[in-house]
Amino acid sequence: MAAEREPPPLGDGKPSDFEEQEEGEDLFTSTVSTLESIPSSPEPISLLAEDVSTNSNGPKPAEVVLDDDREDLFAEATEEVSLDSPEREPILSSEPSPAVTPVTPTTLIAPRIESKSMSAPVIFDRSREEIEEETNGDVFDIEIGVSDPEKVGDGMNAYMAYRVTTKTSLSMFSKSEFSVKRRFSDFLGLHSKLASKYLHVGYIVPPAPEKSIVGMTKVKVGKEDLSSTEFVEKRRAALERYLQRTVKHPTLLQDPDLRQFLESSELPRAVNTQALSGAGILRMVNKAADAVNKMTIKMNESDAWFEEKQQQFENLDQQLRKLHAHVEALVCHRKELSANTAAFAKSAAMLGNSEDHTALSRALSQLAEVEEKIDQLHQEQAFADFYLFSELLSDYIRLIAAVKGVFDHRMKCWQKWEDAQITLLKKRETEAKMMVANKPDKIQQAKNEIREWEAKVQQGERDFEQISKTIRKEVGRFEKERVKDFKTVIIKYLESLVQTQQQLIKYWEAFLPEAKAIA
Amino acid sequence: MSPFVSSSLHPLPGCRAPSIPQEGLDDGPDFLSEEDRGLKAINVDLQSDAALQVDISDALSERDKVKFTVHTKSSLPNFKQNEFSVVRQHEEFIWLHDSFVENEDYAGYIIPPAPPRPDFDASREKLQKLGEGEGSMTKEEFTKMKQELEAEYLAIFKKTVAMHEVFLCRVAAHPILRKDLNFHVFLEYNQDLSVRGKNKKEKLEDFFKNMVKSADGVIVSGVKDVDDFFEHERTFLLEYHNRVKDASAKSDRMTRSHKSAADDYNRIGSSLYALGTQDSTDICKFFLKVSELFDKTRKIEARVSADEDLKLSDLLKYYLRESQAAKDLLYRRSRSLVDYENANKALDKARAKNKDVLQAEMSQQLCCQKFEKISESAKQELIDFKTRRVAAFRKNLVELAELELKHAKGNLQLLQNCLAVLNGDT
Repeated sequence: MAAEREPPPLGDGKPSDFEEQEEGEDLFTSTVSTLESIPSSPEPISLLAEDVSTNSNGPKPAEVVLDDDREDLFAEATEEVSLDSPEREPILSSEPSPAVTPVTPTTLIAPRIESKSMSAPVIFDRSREEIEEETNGDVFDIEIGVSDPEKVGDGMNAYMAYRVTTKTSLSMFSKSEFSVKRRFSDFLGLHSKLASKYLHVGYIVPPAPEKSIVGMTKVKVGKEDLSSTEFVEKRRAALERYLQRTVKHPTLLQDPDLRQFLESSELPRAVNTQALSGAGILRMVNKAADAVNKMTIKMNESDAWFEEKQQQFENLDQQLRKLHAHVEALVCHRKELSANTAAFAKSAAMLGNSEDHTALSRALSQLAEVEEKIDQLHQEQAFADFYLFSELLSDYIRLIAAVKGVFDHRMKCWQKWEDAQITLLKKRETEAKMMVANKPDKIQQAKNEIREWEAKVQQGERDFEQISKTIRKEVGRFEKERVKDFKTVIIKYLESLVQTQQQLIKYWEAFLPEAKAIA
Repeated sequence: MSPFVSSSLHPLPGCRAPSIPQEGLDDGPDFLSEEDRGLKAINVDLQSDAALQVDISDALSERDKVKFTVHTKSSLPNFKQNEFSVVRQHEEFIWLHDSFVENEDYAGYIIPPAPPRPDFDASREKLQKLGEGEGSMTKEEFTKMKQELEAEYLAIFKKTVAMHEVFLCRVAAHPILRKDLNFHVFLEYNQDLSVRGKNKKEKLEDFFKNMVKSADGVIVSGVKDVDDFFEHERTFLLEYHNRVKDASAKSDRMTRSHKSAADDYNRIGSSLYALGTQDSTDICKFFLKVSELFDKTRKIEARVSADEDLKLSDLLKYYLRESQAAKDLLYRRSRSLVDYENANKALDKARAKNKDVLQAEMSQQLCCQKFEKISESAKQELIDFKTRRVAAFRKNLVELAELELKHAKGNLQLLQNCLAVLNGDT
């Protein structure tokens, strides 16, 4: 297979449509044959790992993505018919075995497709191009907002419903602006679906906001106080950031689960996300098992890049945690400052009242007013400290955990490959033994097993290389995003500091003549 | 004590502090000299008088005491020289103050409040903890924190010097008190006054005296004063004193929170610096610039907090003590009024019994004179007190507003410059 294909031209902005199409056809036919050997694996596994790996360091990420996913789309189309992954059933069963006609991209430009099912691959083609354009031009034309938290229901069954609004010009969506109502467990359900599909093949899936039993209970019970409003606001902002990060990921954006989440008015309730459900407990057990495994896997790292990156992420994690702790302290102290300023303002007002020199009394009352306004200022600044700076850091601490998880998956993948190699060796030994013992029927069985395990070894190697490749790409994208994110948010934060100082200047300038007027 | 503490606890052995270099901040008189200049007049607004000028020209901080060098310039004939200096410790100031309080002749004056005891314990503890924790932080962090603590120590040191000085200046400016013999001895006698601190017995006596006073105060304040002026003053002072106490406490807490926030900036700056030096992407330059910003803005925030402390908290604390002294004056006057009334009653009784009439008459006359003398001088003192208070508040509030403005503008400039650089880079 590798021999027949020509790699897409390197250094080209866009590979020519014609070439793509050819590739598409070839790949499609080849995918069918390799299908059986693949264990239940979700769509994005590029079945043509070996082709692409030849181009590993050359082409721009966008290009490569284009190839992979294009093939993926076709792969997906056939895969769903034969594979049996439980998670995907509810969502994808609606898509029938498609009329997969490799169409030239040019013809796709015209019609805005209405019925999704028929033209799934077509849409994907079109949007893939769009996406490529957009990533190259650095414009992602999709905006997500999470707003209007609303309490639904009563008592312990109550929950908060959030409005998720999407504004986009991407044609894969049927409308350009739409909104749906979602609850927190829906978000968790989305994340769990995406994670199960993409994490173990090396994609960095943004983590969902954390659950908080205490916070939610307060809301359910109906405590209408400051802390529960703050909690809801914190969660709303976190959910918005989560969705924004998820749609920025070109592969995840393509996922039908994500689209369904954004678009469909009714979503099946994601019960598996509850902490105490069967699935929840299974998750906890798996996590524990994973942790143990991690300690026992000793991988021979042949690629220094991975080792280096892992170390870098480890350092980054530590530094971010330290910084986060300091910023949290700042938020706390600023809130304290605000409370103390308010208390002082009241006290100064009282003092002004009891002062019997009229001009001084007036000035003290003015001072009390200024301090009250400053207290407001401190409160607002504390918000900015938190929502901009502190939350950015905690988001990234969790993201880095996801990155580390992806590296761990690669290790597991390697382990699997290793194990297959060891088993193959054992089978070969068995065969040799049988040969010596001259048992023809057993020899045949041994030969069959050897063939089976040879294929598994090959697959293991392919998987490993694929995941390594994906990780490299993902890490590159992640680093770019990280740099952009930090710069944007920190600049916004500094601007909030600027605003505070400008207000301070205004207040004190107004007070100064009052103070001078004391005669 | 650890060698660390002893060696670096005296950042400024025996001098009034060289100015701390203000890196990164262009203008503005440095923190120290501004304070030096203004401090004498800050809370009292005194006229400097050629006849008698007192100041503290030097101070030395030792293990657990502070030695003040009291410098006097005088043209009065009472002194042997025109200019001379002596070294005094805190206990000697207290002795002087108490001698005024106990002097019956001064009952009609507001005795300038005694300076509070120098308290470096908290600061010393922090420096010691820092020394112990040296191994657990990076070199930069350690240097930064050490500087921070040294600045704090310096600030406390300067404050205590200022408060002792203010006390002496008030005494020197008072037309009667400045002539006091003990005061002259205090200023001139160039050896140790050997005033031992009060021993347990004396402290207990003091305690009882205070209790009696407050019990008395309740009784005495029940008597409505005939004189409107004093009646008004009493109600005013009682309320004012309580409110100043409250305001002073709240102002203290506010300035301390401000300082904590500024300290956080320091740590954030260090963390950002660490991030900047370790990061592999081009964001490291960004982090380093922001780290620098935090360091500089932190210096400004620390000064804001220090200035608020000086102009607001200290002002309120001082007037807390002064209003207490004024209340004490009113108490003494009321006491003497009660004595006068008792003497009257005794005289009546004596006249009725026709026994010891002369003695009773003399006693009554004495009480009357005492009462009238106190009333007269008290009236003047209270009027002066008000004038001083208004002037001090005006001065401090104006300076507070000016400093806040200056710092906010400085901060704004810093932030805007940094943003311009960051936006230009990205």
